[in-house]
Amino acid sequence: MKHLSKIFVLATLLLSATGLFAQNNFSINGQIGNDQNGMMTLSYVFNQNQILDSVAVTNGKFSFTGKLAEPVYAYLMFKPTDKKTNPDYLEMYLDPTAITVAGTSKVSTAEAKGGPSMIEFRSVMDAYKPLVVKGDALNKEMAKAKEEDDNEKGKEIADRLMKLKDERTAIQEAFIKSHPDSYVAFSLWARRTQGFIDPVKLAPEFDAFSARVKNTVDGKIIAEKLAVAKKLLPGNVAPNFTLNDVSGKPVSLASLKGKNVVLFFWARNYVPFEPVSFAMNRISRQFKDENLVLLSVYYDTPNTSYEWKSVLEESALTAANIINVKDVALLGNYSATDKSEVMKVYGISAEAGIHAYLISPEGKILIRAIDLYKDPVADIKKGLGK
Amino acid sequence: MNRKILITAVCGLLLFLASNVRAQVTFLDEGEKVDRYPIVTWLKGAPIEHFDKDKIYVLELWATWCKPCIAAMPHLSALQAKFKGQIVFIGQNVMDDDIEKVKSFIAKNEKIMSNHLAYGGMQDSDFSKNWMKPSATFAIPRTFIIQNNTLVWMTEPTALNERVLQLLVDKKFSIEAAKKLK
Repeated sequence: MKHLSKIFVLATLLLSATGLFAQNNFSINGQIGNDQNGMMTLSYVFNQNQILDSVAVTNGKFSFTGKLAEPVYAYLMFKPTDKKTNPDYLEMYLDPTAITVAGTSKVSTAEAKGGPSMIEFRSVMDAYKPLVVKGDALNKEMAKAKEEDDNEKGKEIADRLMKLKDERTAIQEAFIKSHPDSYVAFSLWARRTQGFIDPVKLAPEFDAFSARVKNTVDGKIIAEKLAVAKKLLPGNVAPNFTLNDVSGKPVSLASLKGKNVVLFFWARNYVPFEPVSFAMNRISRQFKDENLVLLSVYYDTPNTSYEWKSVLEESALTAANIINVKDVALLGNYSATDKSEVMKVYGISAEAGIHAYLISPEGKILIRAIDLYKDPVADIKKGLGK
Repeated sequence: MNRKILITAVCGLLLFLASNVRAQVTFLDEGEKVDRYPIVTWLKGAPIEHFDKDKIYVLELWATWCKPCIAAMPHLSALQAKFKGQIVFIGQNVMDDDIEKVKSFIAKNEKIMSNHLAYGGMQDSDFSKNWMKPSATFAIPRTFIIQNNTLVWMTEPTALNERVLQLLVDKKFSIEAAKKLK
Protein backbone atom coordinates (compact mmCIF):
# COMPACT_ATOMS: atom_id res chain seq x y z
CA MET A 1 0.00 0.00 0.00
CA LYS A 2 2.83 2.32 0.90
CA HIS A 3 4.57 1.51 -2.33
CA LEU A 4 1.43 2.14 -4.28
CA SER A 5 0.92 5.55 -2.79
CA LYS A 6 4.56 6.42 -3.58
CA ILE A 7 4.02 5.48 -7.18
CA PHE A 8 0.81 7.46 -7.17
CA VAL A 9 2.59 10.55 -5.88
CA LEU A 10 5.32 10.13 -8.44
CA ALA A 11 2.76 9.77 -11.20
CA THR A 12 0.94 12.88 -10.03
CA LEU A 13 4.18 14.81 -9.99
CA LEU A 14 5.02 13.66 -13.49
CA LEU A 15 1.54 14.48 -14.72
CA SER A 16 1.60 17.95 -13.24
CA ALA A 17 5.07 18.51 -14.66
CA THR A 18 3.92 17.66 -18.17
CA GLY A 19 0.75 19.58 -17.42
CA LEU A 20 2.73 22.71 -16.62
CA PHE A 21 4.89 22.12 -19.63
CA ALA A 22 1.91 22.01 -21.97
CA GLN A 23 0.06 24.94 -20.52
CA ASN A 24 2.19 27.87 -21.52
CA ASN A 25 -0.26 30.38 -22.88
CA PHE A 26 0.36 32.95 -25.54
CA SER A 27 -1.76 35.72 -26.97
CA ILE A 28 -1.50 37.73 -30.16
CA ASN A 29 -3.04 41.16 -30.47
CA GLY A 30 -2.88 42.52 -33.96
CA GLN A 31 -3.55 45.89 -35.49
CA ILE A 32 -2.62 46.24 -39.14
CA GLY A 33 -3.96 48.73 -41.73
CA ASN A 34 -7.53 49.97 -41.12
CA ASP A 35 -8.48 48.99 -44.66
CA GLN A 36 -7.64 45.29 -44.05
CA ASN A 37 -10.74 43.09 -43.70
CA GLY A 38 -10.95 39.35 -44.07
CA MET A 39 -9.77 36.17 -42.40
CA MET A 40 -6.47 35.64 -40.52
CA THR A 41 -5.13 32.12 -40.00
CA LEU A 42 -2.38 31.28 -37.52
CA SER A 43 -0.46 28.09 -38.28
CA TYR A 44 1.96 26.33 -35.91
CA VAL A 45 2.76 22.93 -34.44
CA PHE A 46 1.77 21.97 -30.89
CA ASN A 47 2.67 18.51 -29.53
CA GLN A 48 3.30 17.25 -33.08
CA ASN A 49 -0.10 18.44 -34.28
CA GLN A 50 -0.49 21.10 -36.94
CA ILE A 51 -2.74 23.81 -35.47
CA LEU A 52 -4.70 26.05 -37.82
CA ASP A 53 -6.60 28.78 -35.98
CA SER A 54 -8.70 31.31 -37.92
CA VAL A 55 -10.27 34.59 -36.82
CA ALA A 56 -11.99 37.50 -38.56
CA VAL A 57 -10.02 40.69 -39.22
CA THR A 58 -12.15 43.81 -38.87
CA ASN A 59 -10.63 47.16 -39.77
CA GLY A 60 -7.19 45.63 -39.33
CA LYS A 61 -7.88 44.29 -35.82
CA PHE A 62 -7.52 40.63 -34.80
CA SER A 63 -6.45 38.48 -31.84
CA PHE A 64 -5.50 34.89 -31.01
CA THR A 65 -4.85 32.91 -27.83
CA GLY A 66 -3.38 29.45 -27.53
CA LYS A 67 -1.07 27.04 -25.77
CA LEU A 68 2.56 26.19 -26.45
CA ALA A 69 4.85 23.44 -25.24
CA GLU A 70 7.82 25.61 -26.15
CA PRO A 71 8.63 28.48 -28.53
CA VAL A 72 7.69 27.52 -32.05
CA TYR A 73 7.81 28.70 -35.66
CA ALA A 74 4.47 30.03 -36.92
CA TYR A 75 3.01 32.09 -39.70
CA LEU A 76 0.03 34.32 -40.17
CA MET A 77 -1.90 34.07 -43.44
CA PHE A 78 -4.34 36.82 -44.31
CA LYS A 79 -7.14 36.19 -46.82
CA PRO A 80 -8.82 39.46 -47.72
CA THR A 81 -12.63 39.58 -48.11
CA ASP A 82 -11.94 41.13 -51.49
CA LYS A 83 -11.18 38.00 -53.52
CA LYS A 84 -9.20 39.94 -56.12
CA THR A 85 -6.41 40.67 -53.62
CA ASN A 86 -3.89 37.88 -53.04
CA PRO A 87 -3.36 36.28 -49.61
CA ASP A 88 -0.50 37.75 -47.60
CA TYR A 89 1.86 36.18 -45.04
CA LEU A 90 4.00 36.98 -42.02
CA GLU A 91 6.53 34.51 -40.58
CA MET A 92 7.14 34.64 -36.85
CA TYR A 93 8.14 32.76 -33.70
CA LEU A 94 5.69 32.31 -30.86
CA ASP A 95 6.89 32.58 -27.28
CA PRO A 96 4.53 31.86 -24.36
CA THR A 97 3.84 35.54 -23.78
CA ALA A 98 1.80 38.50 -25.01
CA ILE A 99 2.68 39.17 -28.64
CA THR A 100 1.75 42.20 -30.70
CA VAL A 101 1.56 42.47 -34.47
CA ALA A 102 1.55 46.12 -35.50
CA GLY A 103 1.46 47.75 -38.91
CA THR A 104 -0.30 50.32 -41.04
CA SER A 105 -0.94 48.28 -44.19
CA LYS A 106 -0.58 44.58 -45.18
CA VAL A 107 0.33 41.90 -42.65
CA SER A 108 3.58 41.05 -44.48
CA THR A 109 4.91 44.54 -43.68
CA ALA A 110 3.77 44.47 -40.02
CA GLU A 111 6.16 43.98 -37.10
CA ALA A 112 5.68 41.17 -34.57
CA LYS A 113 7.03 41.78 -31.05
CA GLY A 114 7.09 39.89 -27.75
CA GLY A 115 9.44 37.25 -26.43
CA PRO A 116 13.12 36.49 -27.06
CA SER A 117 12.50 34.10 -29.97
CA MET A 118 10.84 36.78 -32.05
CA ILE A 119 13.85 39.09 -31.47
CA GLU A 120 16.27 36.37 -32.55
CA PHE A 121 14.22 35.49 -35.60
CA ARG A 122 14.07 39.13 -36.61
CA SER A 123 17.86 39.40 -36.32
CA VAL A 124 18.21 36.54 -38.82
CA MET A 125 15.62 38.09 -41.14
CA ASP A 126 17.42 41.45 -40.94
CA ALA A 127 20.70 39.77 -41.85
CA TYR A 128 18.94 38.23 -44.88
CA LYS A 129 17.53 41.57 -46.03
CA PRO A 130 20.43 42.76 -48.24
CA LEU A 131 20.40 39.33 -49.91
CA VAL A 132 16.66 39.57 -50.59
CA VAL A 133 17.20 42.94 -52.30
CA LYS A 134 20.04 41.51 -54.41
CA GLY A 135 17.99 38.41 -55.20
CA ASP A 136 15.01 40.44 -56.41
CA ALA A 137 17.28 42.44 -58.71
CA LEU A 138 18.88 39.26 -60.09
CA ASN A 139 15.48 37.65 -60.70
CA LYS A 140 14.51 40.69 -62.78
CA GLU A 141 17.74 40.40 -64.78
CA MET A 142 17.03 36.68 -65.24
CA ALA A 143 13.55 37.38 -66.62
CA LYS A 144 15.09 39.85 -69.07
CA ALA A 145 17.79 37.36 -70.16
CA LYS A 146 15.10 34.75 -70.78
CA GLU A 147 13.10 37.20 -72.83
CA GLU A 148 16.19 37.99 -74.91
CA ASP A 149 17.00 34.27 -75.17
CA ASP A 150 20.50 35.00 -73.84
CA ASN A 151 21.68 31.63 -72.48
CA GLU A 152 25.16 32.83 -71.52
CA LYS A 153 23.77 35.65 -69.43
CA GLY A 154 21.15 33.31 -67.91
CA LYS A 155 23.87 30.94 -66.74
CA GLU A 156 25.93 33.77 -65.30
CA ILE A 157 22.92 35.09 -63.35
CA ALA A 158 22.08 31.56 -62.15
CA ASP A 159 25.64 31.32 -60.77
CA ARG A 160 25.22 34.61 -58.93
CA LEU A 161 21.89 33.43 -57.50
CA MET A 162 23.57 30.23 -56.26
CA LYS A 163 26.23 32.35 -54.55
CA LEU A 164 23.49 34.37 -52.84
CA LYS A 165 21.99 31.13 -51.59
CA ASP A 166 25.40 30.14 -50.19
CA GLU A 167 25.64 33.51 -48.44
CA ARG A 168 22.21 32.92 -46.91
CA THR A 169 23.29 29.47 -45.72
CA ALA A 170 26.45 31.00 -44.21
CA ILE A 171 24.38 33.57 -42.27
CA GLN A 172 22.12 30.80 -40.98
CA GLU A 173 25.09 28.62 -40.08
CA ALA A 174 26.77 31.44 -38.14
CA PHE A 175 23.53 32.14 -36.28
CA ILE A 176 23.04 28.46 -35.39
CA LYS A 177 26.64 28.10 -34.15
CA SER A 178 26.49 31.24 -32.01
CA HIS A 179 23.07 30.39 -30.45
CA PRO A 180 23.30 26.88 -28.93
CA ASP A 181 20.52 27.66 -26.42
CA SER A 182 18.10 29.20 -28.92
CA TYR A 183 14.81 27.60 -29.98
CA VAL A 184 14.98 29.60 -33.21
CA ALA A 185 18.47 28.34 -34.04
CA PHE A 186 17.38 24.81 -33.22
CA SER A 187 14.27 24.89 -35.37
CA LEU A 188 16.23 26.35 -38.32
CA TRP A 189 18.78 23.55 -37.90
CA ALA A 190 16.05 20.91 -37.45
CA ARG A 191 14.96 21.41 -41.07
CA ARG A 192 18.13 19.49 -42.02
CA THR A 193 16.85 16.41 -40.23
CA GLN A 194 13.88 15.77 -42.51
CA GLY A 195 13.96 12.78 -44.78
CA PHE A 196 16.83 10.34 -44.94
CA ILE A 197 19.50 11.63 -42.58
CA ASP A 198 23.25 11.19 -42.20
CA PRO A 199 23.96 10.77 -38.46
CA VAL A 200 27.74 11.10 -38.95
CA LYS A 201 27.27 14.70 -40.04
CA LEU A 202 24.21 15.63 -37.97
CA ALA A 203 24.86 14.03 -34.56
CA PRO A 204 27.77 16.38 -33.64
CA GLU A 205 25.68 19.37 -34.76
CA PHE A 206 22.80 18.19 -32.56
CA ASP A 207 25.12 17.64 -29.59
CA ALA A 208 26.29 21.25 -29.80
CA PHE A 209 22.85 22.48 -28.65
CA SER A 210 22.01 23.05 -24.96
CA ALA A 211 20.17 20.43 -22.87
CA ARG A 212 17.12 22.74 -22.67
CA VAL A 213 16.80 22.79 -26.45
CA LYS A 214 17.58 19.09 -26.88
CA ASN A 215 14.84 18.19 -24.39
CA THR A 216 12.05 19.89 -26.34
CA VAL A 217 9.43 17.72 -28.06
CA ASP A 218 11.22 18.17 -31.39
CA GLY A 219 14.61 17.69 -29.77
CA LYS A 220 13.61 14.29 -28.40
CA ILE A 221 12.19 13.20 -31.74
CA ILE A 222 15.41 14.16 -33.51
CA ALA A 223 17.57 12.43 -30.87
CA GLU A 224 15.59 9.24 -31.46
CA LYS A 225 15.90 9.61 -35.24
CA LEU A 226 19.68 10.03 -34.96
CA ALA A 227 19.94 6.99 -32.67
CA VAL A 228 18.01 4.85 -35.19
CA ALA A 229 20.11 6.13 -38.11
CA LYS A 230 23.37 5.38 -36.24
CA LYS A 231 22.35 1.74 -35.86
CA LEU A 232 21.90 1.52 -39.63
CA LEU A 233 25.37 2.70 -40.60
CA PRO A 234 27.52 0.25 -42.61
CA GLY A 235 29.04 -2.47 -40.42
CA ASN A 236 25.93 -2.89 -38.25
CA VAL A 237 23.69 -5.94 -38.41
CA ALA A 238 20.54 -5.18 -40.42
CA PRO A 239 17.58 -5.45 -38.01
CA ASN A 240 15.57 -8.58 -38.70
CA PHE A 241 11.85 -8.50 -39.49
CA THR A 242 9.20 -10.82 -40.90
CA LEU A 243 6.51 -9.75 -43.36
CA ASN A 244 4.14 -11.64 -45.63
CA ASP A 245 4.80 -12.13 -49.32
CA VAL A 246 2.30 -12.01 -52.19
CA SER A 247 0.95 -15.46 -51.36
CA GLY A 248 0.62 -14.62 -47.66
CA LYS A 249 3.68 -16.62 -46.65
CA PRO A 250 5.90 -15.03 -43.96
CA VAL A 251 9.41 -14.11 -45.12
CA SER A 252 12.12 -12.98 -42.71
CA LEU A 253 15.26 -11.06 -43.56
CA ALA A 254 17.21 -13.57 -41.46
CA SER A 255 16.04 -16.43 -43.71
CA LEU A 256 18.02 -14.85 -46.56
CA LYS A 257 21.36 -15.26 -44.78
CA GLY A 258 24.01 -16.62 -47.10
CA LYS A 259 22.91 -14.26 -49.86
CA ASN A 260 23.57 -10.63 -50.60
CA VAL A 261 20.31 -8.75 -50.15
CA VAL A 262 19.19 -5.48 -51.69
CA LEU A 263 16.61 -4.39 -49.13
CA PHE A 264 14.30 -1.93 -50.83
CA PHE A 265 11.62 0.11 -49.03
CA TRP A 266 9.12 1.81 -51.29
CA ALA A 267 5.63 3.09 -51.98
CA ARG A 268 3.95 3.80 -55.31
CA ASN A 269 2.92 7.41 -54.77
CA TYR A 270 6.29 8.95 -55.63
CA VAL A 271 6.53 11.13 -58.73
CA PRO A 272 8.16 10.22 -60.99
CA PHE A 273 8.12 6.63 -59.83
CA GLU A 274 9.39 5.03 -63.05
CA PRO A 275 13.11 5.77 -62.45
CA VAL A 276 12.78 3.81 -59.20
CA SER A 277 11.12 0.74 -60.70
CA PHE A 278 13.56 1.00 -63.61
CA ALA A 279 16.50 0.94 -61.18
CA MET A 280 15.12 -2.10 -59.34
CA ASN A 281 14.55 -3.96 -62.59
CA ARG A 282 18.03 -3.07 -63.77
CA ILE A 283 19.51 -4.44 -60.52
CA SER A 284 17.39 -7.58 -60.85
CA ARG A 285 18.60 -8.29 -64.42
CA GLN A 286 22.24 -7.34 -63.93
CA PHE A 287 22.64 -9.57 -60.87
CA LYS A 288 20.33 -12.40 -61.89
CA ASP A 289 23.18 -14.92 -62.08
CA GLU A 290 24.76 -13.84 -58.81
CA ASN A 291 24.18 -14.67 -55.17
CA LEU A 292 21.87 -11.71 -54.69
CA VAL A 293 18.16 -11.26 -54.01
CA LEU A 294 16.00 -8.17 -53.80
CA LEU A 295 13.72 -7.96 -50.80
CA SER A 296 11.12 -5.39 -51.75
CA VAL A 297 9.06 -3.99 -48.86
CA TYR A 298 5.98 -2.19 -50.13
CA TYR A 299 3.94 0.45 -48.28
CA ASP A 300 0.39 1.49 -48.87
CA THR A 301 -0.17 5.22 -48.57
CA PRO A 302 -3.31 7.04 -47.40
CA ASN A 303 -5.86 8.15 -49.99
CA THR A 304 -4.43 6.36 -52.99
CA SER A 305 -6.07 3.79 -55.20
CA TYR A 306 -2.88 1.80 -55.81
CA GLU A 307 -3.29 -1.89 -55.19
CA TRP A 308 -0.08 -3.73 -54.28
CA LYS A 309 -0.31 -6.68 -56.67
CA SER A 310 -1.29 -4.60 -59.68
CA VAL A 311 1.48 -2.14 -58.86
CA LEU A 312 3.95 -5.06 -58.95
CA GLU A 313 2.64 -6.06 -62.39
CA GLU A 314 2.69 -2.51 -63.69
CA SER A 315 6.26 -1.93 -62.52
CA ALA A 316 7.41 -5.42 -63.61
CA LEU A 317 8.89 -6.16 -60.19
CA THR A 318 8.15 -9.84 -60.67
CA ALA A 319 11.48 -11.48 -61.58
CA ALA A 320 12.62 -14.65 -59.79
CA ASN A 321 15.25 -12.81 -57.72
CA ILE A 322 12.73 -10.32 -56.31
CA ILE A 323 10.86 -11.22 -53.12
CA ASN A 324 7.89 -8.92 -52.62
CA VAL A 325 6.56 -8.38 -49.11
CA LYS A 326 4.21 -5.74 -47.74
CA ASP A 327 4.23 -3.94 -44.42
CA VAL A 328 0.98 -3.64 -42.50
CA ALA A 329 1.34 0.05 -41.60
CA LEU A 330 0.46 2.96 -43.85
CA LEU A 331 3.26 5.25 -44.96
CA GLY A 332 2.27 8.82 -44.31
CA ASN A 333 1.05 8.74 -40.72
CA TYR A 334 3.37 10.87 -38.68
CA SER A 335 2.80 9.94 -35.08
CA ALA A 336 5.08 7.31 -33.57
CA THR A 337 2.16 5.14 -32.45
CA ASP A 338 1.04 4.56 -36.04
CA LYS A 339 4.43 3.20 -37.04
CA SER A 340 5.10 -0.49 -37.51
CA GLU A 341 8.12 -2.20 -35.97
CA VAL A 342 9.86 -2.20 -39.37
CA MET A 343 9.24 1.53 -39.76
CA LYS A 344 10.68 2.19 -36.29
CA VAL A 345 13.87 0.18 -36.63
CA TYR A 346 14.57 1.35 -40.19
CA GLY A 347 13.59 5.00 -39.56
CA ILE A 348 11.00 5.00 -42.31
CA SER A 349 8.75 8.01 -42.73
CA ALA A 350 6.88 9.54 -45.64
CA GLU A 351 9.79 11.87 -46.48
CA ALA A 352 12.33 9.06 -46.24
CA GLY A 353 10.15 6.50 -47.94
CA ILE A 354 12.11 5.12 -50.86
CA HIS A 355 15.54 3.82 -50.02
CA ALA A 356 17.64 0.72 -50.55
CA TYR A 357 20.29 -1.07 -48.49
CA LEU A 358 22.90 -3.58 -49.54
CA ILE A 359 23.32 -6.36 -46.99
CA SER A 360 26.11 -8.95 -46.84
CA PRO A 361 25.54 -12.75 -46.71
CA GLU A 362 26.31 -12.49 -42.96
CA GLY A 363 23.49 -9.98 -42.52
CA LYS A 364 25.66 -6.89 -42.12
CA ILE A 365 24.83 -3.57 -43.75
CA LEU A 366 27.27 -2.81 -46.58
CA ILE A 367 25.53 0.25 -48.05
CA ARG A 368 22.90 2.31 -46.26
CA ALA A 369 21.66 4.30 -49.25
CA ILE A 370 22.08 2.92 -52.75
CA ASP A 371 21.51 5.85 -55.09
CA LEU A 372 18.63 4.54 -57.20
CA TYR A 373 18.59 7.60 -59.43
CA LYS A 374 22.25 7.63 -60.50
CA ASP A 375 24.05 4.33 -61.04
CA PRO A 376 22.76 1.74 -58.57
CA VAL A 377 24.54 -1.14 -60.33
CA ALA A 378 27.91 0.59 -59.90
CA ASP A 379 27.06 1.31 -56.23
CA ILE A 380 26.28 -2.36 -55.57
CA LYS A 381 29.36 -3.63 -57.42
CA LYS A 382 31.48 -1.29 -55.31
CA GLY A 383 29.74 -2.48 -52.15
CA LEU A 384 30.45 -6.09 -53.09
CA GLY A 385 34.10 -5.20 -53.68
CA LYS A 386 33.92 -5.87 -57.42
CA MET B 1 -32.65 -16.30 -82.51
CA ASN B 2 -32.12 -13.21 -80.46
CA ARG B 3 -29.75 -15.07 -78.22
CA LYS B 4 -27.69 -16.16 -81.21
CA ILE B 5 -27.30 -12.60 -82.34
CA LEU B 6 -26.26 -11.60 -78.87
CA ILE B 7 -23.64 -14.37 -78.68
CA THR B 8 -22.26 -13.40 -82.07
CA ALA B 9 -22.10 -9.80 -80.94
CA VAL B 10 -20.29 -10.75 -77.74
CA CYS B 11 -17.82 -12.92 -79.65
CA GLY B 12 -17.24 -10.07 -82.06
CA LEU B 13 -16.60 -7.74 -79.17
CA LEU B 14 -14.13 -10.16 -77.57
CA LEU B 15 -12.27 -10.54 -80.84
CA PHE B 16 -12.17 -6.78 -81.21
CA LEU B 17 -10.78 -6.41 -77.70
CA ALA B 18 -8.22 -9.16 -78.17
CA SER B 19 -6.88 -7.58 -81.34
CA ASN B 20 -6.45 -4.28 -79.53
CA VAL B 21 -4.76 -5.59 -76.43
CA ARG B 22 -1.01 -5.60 -76.80
CA ALA B 23 1.36 -6.64 -74.09
CA GLN B 24 2.49 -3.47 -72.38
CA VAL B 25 6.23 -2.97 -72.16
CA THR B 26 7.13 -2.41 -68.51
CA PHE B 27 10.91 -2.32 -68.57
CA LEU B 28 13.24 -1.20 -71.32
CA ASP B 29 16.97 -1.14 -70.72
CA GLU B 30 20.20 -1.77 -72.58
CA GLY B 31 20.30 -5.45 -73.54
CA GLU B 32 16.50 -5.82 -73.80
CA LYS B 33 14.84 -7.15 -76.92
CA VAL B 34 12.76 -4.67 -78.89
CA ASP B 35 10.46 -5.70 -81.69
CA ARG B 36 7.39 -3.52 -82.06
CA TYR B 37 7.64 0.21 -82.66
CA PRO B 38 5.00 1.93 -80.50
CA ILE B 39 1.99 3.41 -82.30
CA VAL B 40 2.88 6.92 -83.45
CA THR B 41 1.81 9.31 -86.20
CA TRP B 42 4.37 9.21 -89.00
CA LEU B 43 4.97 12.63 -90.53
CA LYS B 44 7.84 11.77 -92.87
CA GLY B 45 9.24 8.58 -94.37
CA ALA B 46 7.71 5.10 -94.56
CA PRO B 47 6.01 4.12 -91.28
CA ILE B 48 8.06 1.76 -89.10
CA GLU B 49 5.95 -0.77 -87.20
CA HIS B 50 8.63 -3.31 -86.37
CA PHE B 51 12.37 -3.09 -85.98
CA ASP B 52 14.07 -5.13 -88.70
CA LYS B 53 16.55 -7.64 -87.27
CA ASP B 54 19.11 -6.79 -89.95
CA LYS B 55 18.92 -3.02 -89.61
CA ILE B 56 20.58 -0.51 -87.31
CA TYR B 57 18.43 2.30 -85.90
CA VAL B 58 19.31 5.62 -84.29
CA LEU B 59 16.16 6.72 -82.50
CA GLU B 60 16.37 10.33 -81.45
CA LEU B 61 13.82 11.92 -79.12
CA TRP B 62 13.12 15.61 -79.64
CA ALA B 63 10.57 18.37 -79.02
CA THR B 64 9.96 21.75 -80.62
CA TRP B 65 10.78 23.46 -77.30
CA CYS B 66 13.95 21.44 -76.61
CA LYS B 67 16.91 23.66 -77.47
CA PRO B 68 19.68 21.07 -77.03
CA CYS B 69 17.66 18.68 -79.25
CA ILE B 70 17.47 21.28 -82.00
CA ALA B 71 21.14 22.15 -81.55
CA ALA B 72 22.03 18.48 -82.14
CA MET B 73 20.03 18.19 -85.38
CA PRO B 74 22.68 19.36 -87.89
CA HIS B 75 25.21 16.95 -86.34
CA LEU B 76 22.77 14.04 -86.58
CA SER B 77 21.67 14.82 -90.12
CA ALA B 78 25.33 14.95 -91.20
CA LEU B 79 25.80 11.45 -89.72
CA GLN B 80 22.60 10.35 -91.46
CA ALA B 81 24.03 11.48 -94.82
CA LYS B 82 27.34 9.76 -94.09
CA PHE B 83 25.68 6.41 -93.19
CA LYS B 84 22.99 6.51 -95.87
CA GLY B 85 21.72 2.99 -96.60
CA GLN B 86 23.46 1.60 -93.50
CA ILE B 87 21.68 3.18 -90.54
CA VAL B 88 18.04 4.28 -90.20
CA PHE B 89 17.64 7.61 -88.38
CA ILE B 90 14.31 8.28 -86.66
CA GLY B 91 13.44 11.68 -85.25
CA GLN B 92 10.75 10.85 -82.72
CA ASN B 93 8.92 13.90 -81.45
CA VAL B 94 7.78 13.63 -77.82
CA MET B 95 6.31 15.88 -75.13
CA ASP B 96 4.69 18.23 -77.66
CA ASP B 97 0.93 18.62 -77.30
CA ASP B 98 0.22 20.27 -80.65
CA ILE B 99 0.84 18.19 -83.76
CA GLU B 100 0.32 21.24 -86.01
CA LYS B 101 3.17 23.03 -84.28
CA VAL B 102 5.35 19.97 -84.86
CA LYS B 103 4.38 19.85 -88.53
CA SER B 104 5.26 23.50 -89.08
CA PHE B 105 8.57 23.04 -87.25
CA ILE B 106 9.40 20.16 -89.60
CA ALA B 107 8.40 22.20 -92.64
CA LYS B 108 10.92 24.88 -91.63
CA ASN B 109 13.75 22.60 -90.52
CA GLU B 110 13.44 19.54 -92.74
CA LYS B 111 16.98 19.93 -94.09
CA ILE B 112 18.58 19.29 -90.71
CA MET B 113 16.21 16.50 -89.62
CA SER B 114 15.95 12.73 -89.91
CA ASN B 115 14.41 11.04 -92.95
CA HIS B 116 11.90 9.32 -90.64
CA LEU B 117 9.90 11.67 -88.47
CA ALA B 118 7.05 10.79 -86.14
CA TYR B 119 4.78 12.49 -83.65
CA GLY B 120 4.49 10.58 -80.35
CA GLY B 121 2.08 12.61 -78.21
CA MET B 122 1.79 13.25 -74.51
CA GLN B 123 1.67 11.08 -71.35
CA ASP B 124 -1.16 8.78 -72.39
CA SER B 125 0.28 8.03 -75.82
CA ASP B 126 1.46 4.59 -76.80
CA PHE B 127 5.01 5.88 -77.20
CA SER B 128 5.04 7.35 -73.72
CA LYS B 129 3.58 4.22 -72.11
CA ASN B 130 5.63 1.67 -74.02
CA TRP B 131 8.93 3.47 -74.50
CA MET B 132 9.48 6.52 -72.32
CA LYS B 133 8.14 5.23 -69.01
CA PRO B 134 9.67 1.72 -69.26
CA SER B 135 13.06 3.30 -70.01
CA ALA B 136 12.55 5.97 -67.30
CA THR B 137 13.02 8.70 -69.89
CA PHE B 138 12.00 12.05 -68.44
CA ALA B 139 14.50 14.37 -70.05
CA ILE B 140 15.47 14.92 -73.66
CA PRO B 141 17.51 14.84 -75.83
CA ARG B 142 17.93 11.10 -75.51
CA THR B 143 19.18 8.67 -78.13
CA PHE B 144 18.45 4.95 -78.41
CA ILE B 145 20.55 2.67 -80.59
CA ILE B 146 18.92 -0.53 -81.78
CA GLN B 147 20.74 -3.37 -83.53
CA ASN B 148 19.79 -7.00 -83.98
CA ASN B 149 16.38 -6.33 -82.36
CA THR B 150 18.18 -5.30 -79.18
CA LEU B 151 18.40 -1.95 -77.48
CA VAL B 152 22.18 -1.68 -77.34
CA TRP B 153 22.69 1.83 -75.96
CA MET B 154 20.77 4.65 -74.30
CA THR B 155 22.78 7.79 -74.74
CA GLU B 156 22.65 11.37 -75.99
CA PRO B 157 23.24 12.81 -79.47
CA THR B 158 26.57 14.42 -78.54
CA ALA B 159 27.98 10.94 -77.77
CA LEU B 160 27.51 9.89 -81.40
CA ASN B 161 30.19 10.32 -84.02
CA GLU B 162 31.36 8.59 -87.21
CA ARG B 163 33.66 6.19 -85.37
CA VAL B 164 30.94 5.12 -82.93
CA LEU B 165 28.46 4.46 -85.74
CA GLN B 166 31.15 2.60 -87.70
CA LEU B 167 31.42 0.17 -84.76
CA LEU B 168 27.75 -0.69 -85.30
CA VAL B 169 28.19 -1.14 -89.04
CA ASP B 170 31.22 -3.38 -88.42
CA LYS B 171 29.21 -5.37 -85.84
CA LYS B 172 31.82 -4.54 -83.20
CA PHE B 173 29.67 -2.34 -81.01
CA SER B 174 29.91 -2.33 -77.22
CA ILE B 175 29.08 0.53 -74.84
CA GLU B 176 32.63 0.46 -73.42
CA ALA B 177 34.14 0.74 -76.91
CA ALA B 178 31.74 3.55 -77.84
CA LYS B 179 32.52 5.52 -74.69
CA LYS B 180 36.23 5.41 -75.50
CA LEU B 181 35.57 7.10 -78.85
CA LYS B 182 33.96 10.18 -77.34
